[in-house]
Amino acid sequence: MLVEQAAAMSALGAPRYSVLVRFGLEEPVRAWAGIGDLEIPADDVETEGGTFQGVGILGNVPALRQLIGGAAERLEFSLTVPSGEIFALADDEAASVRAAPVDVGVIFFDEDWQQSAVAWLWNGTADVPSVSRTANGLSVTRTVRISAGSAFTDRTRPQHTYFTNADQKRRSPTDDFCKRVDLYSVNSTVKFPN
Amino acid sequence: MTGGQSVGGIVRSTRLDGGGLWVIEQEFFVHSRAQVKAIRAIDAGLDGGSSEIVVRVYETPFMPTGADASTVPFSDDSTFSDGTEFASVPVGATLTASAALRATTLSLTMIVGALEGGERFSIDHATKGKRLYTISRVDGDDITIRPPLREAVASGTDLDFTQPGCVCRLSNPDDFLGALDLNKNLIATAVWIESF
Repeated sequence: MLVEQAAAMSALGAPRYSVLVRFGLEEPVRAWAGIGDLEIPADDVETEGGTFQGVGILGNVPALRQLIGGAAERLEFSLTVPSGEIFALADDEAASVRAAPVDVGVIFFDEDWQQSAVAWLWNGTADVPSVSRTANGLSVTRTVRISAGSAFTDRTRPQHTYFTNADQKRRSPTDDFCKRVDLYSVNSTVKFPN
Repeated sequence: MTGGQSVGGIVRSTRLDGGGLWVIEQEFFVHSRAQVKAIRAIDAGLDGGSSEIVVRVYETPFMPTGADASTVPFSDDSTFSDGTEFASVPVGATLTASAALRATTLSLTMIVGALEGGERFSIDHATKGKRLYTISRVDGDDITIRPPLREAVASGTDLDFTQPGCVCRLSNPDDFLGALDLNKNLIATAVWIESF
């Protein structure tokens, strides 16, 4: 579907499209990169249909990449805060944000700004939100950042293995290959806890 | 926003904002005790750009042809005892069909005057307040407008061509009021930005 839409819009010369982000919380947070409200009918992702809020809500949408034999990505969405609602996200409802589904889609408009169906491009899982406040002269901007990972992202760290004599003896009781490792202390730091 | 330059050097532009928003720049020459006090009161009420205000735009010369904000007498052509008439409030047009949020085509019937395109009008929305629109095309009783409708409207809604305005916030609170000179004159420069 996306391919046909993109081709049709591309034929217009100056394509018009925008980006939507949906955080599937109990009370979903819907934002898009345009201005004003945008009504989206129910579809596979936006199961109830809803109004996406425009201007000033969505700070930026990070670049999306498809995972092809690379490191799993983690995206950070920033929502500037004109209202208490989104602020409450990071404060009162911080626990509910964790593991909430995050969807990013693109929507195309025709030359009369009439929308087509949303093509949802990316989905992931929200992680902990954080709040920041930057003051620049007299103006203060409050931003809520929500980090999201794809299905391939997790929080584990790689398991460390050490070539110590004890480790090696556990694997092969008669192998003395690492016998003298204990004596090696220059340029060696053992991370603890593992 | 552009999609980047192609090898041939042609830049293709892309719009991501979904129709744009109003930015209104106005300059007022304020020149009496009453006016200075009024503009100060407005400035205080704007709370440094955090309060909303309906900003009127001067559209009188561009109203639909034949419409004007004139006065009307009583139905028997009599006037008030001092010779004045009612100040008429010509709305301009009413919608003949409801329109959805973000619609850009409206069907209307003109009360007075004829449309040519390029006129500006406002609609007083139920929750979004007064919003400003420009007519880009006229096709019989249908008009095409920009920006897309901020809120759904019902059939019979008035389109106000005579005193259009838009709910805005002040975006330059630091530079709004100029210095007051010895003759109690000052120049107020306002940059309004449509509020949501």
